[in-house]
Amino acid sequence: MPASIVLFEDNDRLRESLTYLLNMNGYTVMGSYGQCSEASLIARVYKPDVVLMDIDMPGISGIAGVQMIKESNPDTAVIMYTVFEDDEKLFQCLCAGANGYLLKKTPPAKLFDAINEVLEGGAPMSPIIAQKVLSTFRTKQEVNKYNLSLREKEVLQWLSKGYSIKMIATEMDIAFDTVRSHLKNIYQKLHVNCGKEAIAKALSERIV
Amino acid sequence: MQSRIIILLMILLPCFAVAQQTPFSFRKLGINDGLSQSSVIDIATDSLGFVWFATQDGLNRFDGKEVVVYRKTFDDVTTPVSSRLGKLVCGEDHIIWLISTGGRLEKFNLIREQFEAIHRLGNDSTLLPAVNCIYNDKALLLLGTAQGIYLYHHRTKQLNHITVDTLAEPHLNSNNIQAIHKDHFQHYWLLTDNGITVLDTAGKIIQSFLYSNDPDKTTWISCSAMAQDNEGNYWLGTYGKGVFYKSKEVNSFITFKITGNKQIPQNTVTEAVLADDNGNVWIGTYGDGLYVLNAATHKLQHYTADYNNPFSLSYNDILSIKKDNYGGIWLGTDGGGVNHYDKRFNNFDLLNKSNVPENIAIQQVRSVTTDSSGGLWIGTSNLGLTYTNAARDSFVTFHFPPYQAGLSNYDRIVSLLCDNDGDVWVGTQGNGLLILNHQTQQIKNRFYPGAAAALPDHTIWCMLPHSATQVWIGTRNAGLCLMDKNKGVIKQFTNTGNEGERLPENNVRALVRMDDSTVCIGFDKAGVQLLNTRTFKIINPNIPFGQLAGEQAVLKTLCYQPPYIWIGTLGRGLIAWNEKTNNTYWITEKQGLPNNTIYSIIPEKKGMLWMSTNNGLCSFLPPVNLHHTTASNFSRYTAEDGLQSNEFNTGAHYMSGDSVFYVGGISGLSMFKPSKLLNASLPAKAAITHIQVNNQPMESDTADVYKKILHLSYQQNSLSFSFAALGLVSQSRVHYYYRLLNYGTKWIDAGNRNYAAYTNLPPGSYTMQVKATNNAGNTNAPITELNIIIHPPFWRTWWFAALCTFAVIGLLYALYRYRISQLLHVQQTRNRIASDLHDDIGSTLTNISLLAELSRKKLPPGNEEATLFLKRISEEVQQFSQALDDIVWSINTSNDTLEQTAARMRRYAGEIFEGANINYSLFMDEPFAQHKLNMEQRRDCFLMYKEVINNIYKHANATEVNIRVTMNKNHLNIIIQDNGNGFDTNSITHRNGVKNIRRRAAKWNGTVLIESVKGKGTTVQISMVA
Repeated sequence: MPASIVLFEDNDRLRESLTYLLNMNGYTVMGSYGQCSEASLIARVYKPDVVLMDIDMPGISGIAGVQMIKESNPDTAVIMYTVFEDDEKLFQCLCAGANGYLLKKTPPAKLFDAINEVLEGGAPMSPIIAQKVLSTFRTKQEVNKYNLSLREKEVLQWLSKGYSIKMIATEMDIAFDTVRSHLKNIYQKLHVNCGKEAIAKALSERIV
Repeated sequence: MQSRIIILLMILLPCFAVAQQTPFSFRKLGINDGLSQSSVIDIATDSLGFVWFATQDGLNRFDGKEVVVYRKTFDDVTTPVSSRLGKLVCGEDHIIWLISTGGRLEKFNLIREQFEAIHRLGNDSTLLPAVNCIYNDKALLLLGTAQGIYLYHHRTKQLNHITVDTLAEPHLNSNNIQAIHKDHFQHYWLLTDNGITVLDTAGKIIQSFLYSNDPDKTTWISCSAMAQDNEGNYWLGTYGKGVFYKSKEVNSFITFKITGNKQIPQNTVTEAVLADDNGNVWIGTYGDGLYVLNAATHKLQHYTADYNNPFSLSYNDILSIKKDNYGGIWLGTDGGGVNHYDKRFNNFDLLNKSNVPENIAIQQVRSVTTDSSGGLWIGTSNLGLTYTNAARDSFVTFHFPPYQAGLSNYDRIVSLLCDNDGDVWVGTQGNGLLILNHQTQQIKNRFYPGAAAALPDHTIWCMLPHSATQVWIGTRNAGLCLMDKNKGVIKQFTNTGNEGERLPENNVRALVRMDDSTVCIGFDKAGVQLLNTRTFKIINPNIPFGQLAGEQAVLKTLCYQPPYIWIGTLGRGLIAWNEKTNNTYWITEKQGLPNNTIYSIIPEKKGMLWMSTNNGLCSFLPPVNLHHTTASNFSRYTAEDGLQSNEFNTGAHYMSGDSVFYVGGISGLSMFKPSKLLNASLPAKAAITHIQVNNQPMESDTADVYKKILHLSYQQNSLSFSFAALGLVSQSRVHYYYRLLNYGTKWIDAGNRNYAAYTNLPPGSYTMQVKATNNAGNTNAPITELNIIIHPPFWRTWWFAALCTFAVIGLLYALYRYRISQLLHVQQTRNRIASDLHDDIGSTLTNISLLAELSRKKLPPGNEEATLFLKRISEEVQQFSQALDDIVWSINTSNDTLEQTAARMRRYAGEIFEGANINYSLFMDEPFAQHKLNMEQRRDCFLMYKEVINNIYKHANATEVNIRVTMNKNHLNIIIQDNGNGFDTNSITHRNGVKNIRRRAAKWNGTVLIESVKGKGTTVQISMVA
């Protein structure tokens, strides 16, 4: 069964092209929107598998959009669709519950691989975001029970230095997929620690 | 007596009557002393003690030394029946009331130095007429005019005018009010040209005296001045009607008469009457000098001008008599300036030319003694021997003939002694020794060289009693002799005797008894030796006289006050020998001695010594340790104090049995009782009379003295002060002390110099303190203070410093804010650019990429060329996206550290090589992580790196790539090695890629080294300053 997708992107032409491209390649685009004020309703009604969410949109921003979607349907995977991977806003989205991000510059041919990778838990992470995650956990260490494990910390440290997942797997002498699962866990812990309480509660149940 | 050889020339003079009481001695202040005119109309003393004089041509202020003149004129009209004279009255708050020319009422403010004419008083619109006289107290201001009396009530500001026509019983005697007096009962006595009207405290008429209703006015008694003595009796002066007197018990005035032949004439014109604190009534007349009546002794003294006597009244027309704050009396005369009397002027009795008859010798006094009946014998140099009786009312001068013919200068009497029989021993210089009967004044005996009763020398310097009839005499050429007045010389010591009886020299200057058996002998140049008068042995105490005072020192006098022998010298000061310890001391002007020539030393009972010198008379209270002698141990008296002059003579000293001291000098004989010396009733007060700032007198110089505080700017920091001593009578021996508190605390002894100067005083607050005393070392004199505040320049004030601090802080803060806002601005710009790229261009590029992909998929098969083109579009867009990404990355400030650049380099390598299955290793130095790179450096560094990586990826076909990034000092080194194809380094110049790398490296003083061997790979070394 093809994955169902909902798009939020304020650039009309890009949205149309993307819808067309996704539909053409076996995905079901259930809806595409120029702004996310109705995001909660859309998520509840369509229950899409994946949401592609732009960050800068008129009215309600993508950050709020992530929260709305996660509140109404935590099962939907939200992928931020962004130009620049080292953006502070992107980090906030990840905190708010986004499952990963997709760079707009990703060539169309690799677009579907990238979506699949995110859905499989191979969350991408830039060095700056890795750094931010590390410092976030450093300051919240005392109050949260979901601290990063030593391994997870190590992964983040390598990431912040620009090492790719492959390189990390080599350096740490572990499997490529193990690194990916560490990253997935890191994302989950990030959501619980930094997101809104309601989502955090909902999401926390998935960790253990 | 050998009467045949004695020829006595006696010149007896008739008795000269002088009053028994010591006559008052006056000091004069005239036009030559700075007074503006010699007719002094009125006198007043202000609160500080300055004496003010009104003259027709100016108002004068006198501080005891100097006269300051103010331009102001006063009336001076005197007739036998009336006068119109200017007036001076001191008021409160540094005000002097004046009645100036034309009867104008004026107020003179001493502090502001301003004259203010008063035309009206209070709220009353009445224009005041010409004012004759004024009286001011706390309640009332009384103005006497020719049109009645004006009473101004200070409290109610009401002006009352009383004339003859005012309804009252009794009524005003006359409209012409000539003087006002306030008595002990606080009643006002209005002196008119027709008797006196008395007002009570409230200004109501209560009594009338000496009123006459004679229409022709011939019997009118025109009253001029009035005083009330200590007893409460009234004394009234009139114009041409004599002096009237009203006893306190009687209610009427009578003409004053006194028992005895001296009377005040009935027609006397009196201008001034004053009752002093010692029971004297002073009556100043116009034309007949001054009468002083002592109420207790009922003695009347009459003083008139005597041009021979410098201490007499200067003029017989007296216009005013006033007291000062120190008990002094000031008399203004109509042509003779001011006469000043102070009881301190009478501390010393005096016999000089002025008060002995003309033919009596009184100058050049060389010796003095008294006899048992109180007679006074005075030996003079070349003028004979003068005798005066105990009452000092008869004088006689004896001249003794030479003992041999041809003797010149035989009339010099240099020593005198009165023995127990009452005989007077007369020692002469060059004319032998004579013995007189003090009662008959006949010569009883005479000794001289060659006489039957021979004397080995003709000059007798000194004598000292030995027994009832025997006297030690010190001669000039024959040593020391013991004389019996009947037998002549019975013992002689000279410089030729045996050991123990031999003198060091024959010139014996002084003799003093130390005890019953010891006499101290003073030689002219050989110091002193002791004589035991029982054993007649000479003892040498070995006093190093020559060593102390110099080999040529001449001894003048001796004095014994246990345990010291005091030796006075000629010009070599004073020597003291302690007979107990044998210590000697030398005291000279350096130790405060007023003069180094000591003619006589007389011991006073209390351990005090009195010395006559060439610079006056001084008392000396020796300190316990004589080495500590200072000026404060001496008190000096001079001619200003009434001494005969400042120069005294050798041998002319004597203390009588009743402790009267006699010291003689060039102009006469001074007499005093040390215990009776008087000082002022109030301690003298110093005043700061002038202040100079930066060598310029202050704007209102003469008012300086009344100032309490002086404000100056920081530039006015050189100050000098002149002082005056108020209340001291001998200005030449005033001693000033001053100090400037906050500059120094030690009193500076200025001596007689009344001046002090300070330069470059730093800003601050100071107090100038001055005190003056007649006795050096008297530290209890009252202190006069002037506060001086030198204000700092504004840039040295605390508020300016605070302001500067705030300004600097403010400026720094502003700079800081500016810098921050600049940084924020840059940051905002960067963010905006990043945001724009993100939103618009990024999305558009993505869309192009998507559309290209869609087009490619929609193309029917076989369009390979179009497919290729579409692929190219996608690639270009991809590359553009990547470039865009690099720009956005490089401008982001959060990537400022080298660590971030390194992370991006690593990531880029990963993206490229992982996709292309190229093995690579990347080594990076850890320590440079925090090194900062600016935006440009970061961008160039990354782009050079990217260029090399891309070249390897596109052209090298490498399988292994090694990257090393290291930091060496401030050089960033990037070494990239691959094992690819390699290339000919010479053939690549046309390619942009390598050129770009070189250009970017050059920008940062860097170098690029490329080594390549075909088939063996390439090594690129980039080095740049970072």
